[in-house]
Order: sequence, then structure tokens, then C-alpha cells
Amino acid sequence: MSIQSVLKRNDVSAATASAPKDEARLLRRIAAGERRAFEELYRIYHPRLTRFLSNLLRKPEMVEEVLNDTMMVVWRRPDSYSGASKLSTWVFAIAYRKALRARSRFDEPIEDKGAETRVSDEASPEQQLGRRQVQEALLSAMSQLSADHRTVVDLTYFHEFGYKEIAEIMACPVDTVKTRMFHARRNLKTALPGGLTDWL
Amino acid sequence: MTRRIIPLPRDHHRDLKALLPWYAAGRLEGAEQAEVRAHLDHCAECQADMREEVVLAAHLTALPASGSSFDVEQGWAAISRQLEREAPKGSPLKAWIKRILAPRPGAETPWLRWAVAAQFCLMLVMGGAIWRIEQPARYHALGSAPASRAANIVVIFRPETPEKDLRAILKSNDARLVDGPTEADAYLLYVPSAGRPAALVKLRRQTQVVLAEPVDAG
Repeated sequence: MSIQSVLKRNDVSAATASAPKDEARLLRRIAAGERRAFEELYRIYHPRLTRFLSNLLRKPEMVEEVLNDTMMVVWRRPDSYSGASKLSTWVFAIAYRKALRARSRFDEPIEDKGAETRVSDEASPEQQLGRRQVQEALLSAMSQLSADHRTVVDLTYFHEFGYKEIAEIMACPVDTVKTRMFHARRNLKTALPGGLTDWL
Repeated sequence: MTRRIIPLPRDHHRDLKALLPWYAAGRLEGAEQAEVRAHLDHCAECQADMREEVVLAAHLTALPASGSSFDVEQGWAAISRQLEREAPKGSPLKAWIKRILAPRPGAETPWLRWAVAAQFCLMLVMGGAIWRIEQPARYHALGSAPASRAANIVVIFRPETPEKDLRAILKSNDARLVDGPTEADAYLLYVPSAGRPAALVKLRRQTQVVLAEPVDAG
């Protein structure tokens, strides 16, 4: 993949901008008590929230509960959506808050303070690894990130949120999001033996 | 003595470098995107970082979803059961009023919400007053048809709806006009109770209908 292809992606992204309008329309119908509209929105968000919450919680048995708690807020309080941000930002912010509360029940620390300065100390193997091995190395590195760092990575790469939206979801300053991304990327890069450009 | 806080100059290169993941993902907006693009033209360090970012992003986005394979049908079934348990226990009319008065999500014009709420309050008051005035007249002839059936649907048409369309809509739904127009241009209709759910669905689909809601007498 080249830089040019990434730049092309930038231009293409504008073409998908119609979906949020449809979702906002669904929310208006939900506010009028239409259960069918709620089901439609539920089915749109189910795969996205499953992935997001699975990565954040790392407890499969809690994902269903937190996902449905999130969607129940959408059903009960559609009026709390101000319209200032995208609907997805609002839904993910609810999911994030619900997940934090759920995590606090099993006492897992939300932020690993040491992760900001720690660099992965895994030794680099000398032999070249295949694609599968790269995936395994990255998955392992992801699991070692703090929950906050992992959330920033997840929201950026899998859910395509901008840094301002991520700051809104995580209720933190934008500079904090950038710092978390900086440290997360550094740790992920060091997980790939031989340097990233070898894997082009 | 007054103290002034002098902001330290930000490192422009560092600021733009921090944005590269979102630049690569196409998540920057106009001016910011142009600024990063221009910076990349002459900054070798950021160009190298961008190349790494492209590789890292490709590998990350190819990662399989971790953890649970939670089924959407199973999830919807669970949430449906919860919705059933929490279904409002009050009368449909109360639920309808609550819904009408509920703020509209994402509404950028709060005054409109209040105007709509006021309109419906007025509609209810005037509708009630008219209804009381127009109770079946005591001077109805003996042997006349039984007192008019109680309305079970309230409907508001778009103001520009021609009378012939209005008639056609009533006929196609087997609806009888019980009252209206009220001050708020609402009409109270009666449809056979078995056909009411279908009539509501049909009415709501009509482009000329602004609102169609069930009303229960009593």
C-alpha cells in the first residue's frame, strides 16, 4: 500500500457521509416510540459495538450485557442526543462509559500508568515471520496495551473515528488522545520484528 | 503584582506528526488535512513515519475481531424481552402525550419543540371543549342512529391537503369522522377496532398525514 493509495482513501471517505443522516432519522423515530426503528439501529450498531466492547472489556461474558445496556439508553433517552456530534460518537460514548463502569465491577485498572513510558521488551526474532505471525505479534501487543491506549487504537483503525470524536467519546482532551496514540503506536511498532518497513 | 501566562510556542512539526494516523485514515478535515499534506511534501521524518503508518494500519485493520462471537439475534431477543417488561403501563393516550411532549433528539431549534408542545396542549384543550359541546344532541329524533361511535384515532393532515384527498384517505381506511377539525386542525376518527393497527400504519405512510395516533376513550 502506498501513500498515494492512502490519499485516495481520503477523497473516497466523503462519499460515505450519507449514513449518519439515516441514523439520525432512525433516532427521531425511536423518540416517537417506534420499536422497529430501534431494531434497525440495534442491528446497525451490534457488530460495531461487539468489536469495540470485546477489545475494551476482554471479557466476552460482559459484552452482551454492556452492549444491551448501551442500546437501552438509546431507547430510553433519545432526547439526550444533542445533535452536536455524529450519532455514532454519542452511542460509542455511552458504550465507553458503560464499559468503564462494568470494568470497575471486576476491579481491572482502566489506565496502565506505566504504559506511557514502557517500551515492549520482547526480543526481536532473527527469522522473518509470515503474515499470520505478524498478526499474532500485533494481537499480543494489543492485549498488552492499557485499556485507554487500546481504545484509541480501536476507535481509530476499526471504527474510523477522528481524534476529536475520540476525545468526545472518552471525555478527555484531544492532546491526551494524541499522546495515547503516540505511545500505543510505539509499542505496536516494536512488536513487529525487523522494523515496520520490512512488512511492506 | 499580576502574573501573565505566556503560552509556549507549540512544536508545529510534532503537532502535525501526531495527526498522521488520522491523516492516513482519512479522518482529518479540510484545513488540517491540507496542512499535513503540505508538511509531508518537505519533511523527511514525517514521510518515513507515514510509510510506517501505512504498513501498521494495513496490518491492524486486517486483524480478526477479538473475543466473542455474540449473535445479533440472541442480543435482539434479550433486549426485546427487556422492552416487553418495561412497556408503559399507562393508557395509550397518556403514552402518546408523553411522546409528543418528549424533546426531539438532536433538535437545533428548542423553540420549535415548545411550539409543537403548546400546539398539542391547545389541541387537547380545544378538542376536549368541542367534544363536550358536541355531545350527541338530546334532541336527536327517536329512532335515530345510536350516538356516534367514540373516536379511536387522532390524525393531523398537512395544511395544504385537498378535501378530496382527505376523503379518499378516510374511505381507504374505513374511517369515520367523529370530530374535527379542532383548533390545531386535528381530526378524531373512528375505525373498527380490529382494523385500527393496520389503519394507523397505513395513515402514517400517507404523505399528507403529519400525525396519526391511537386514542382510547374513557
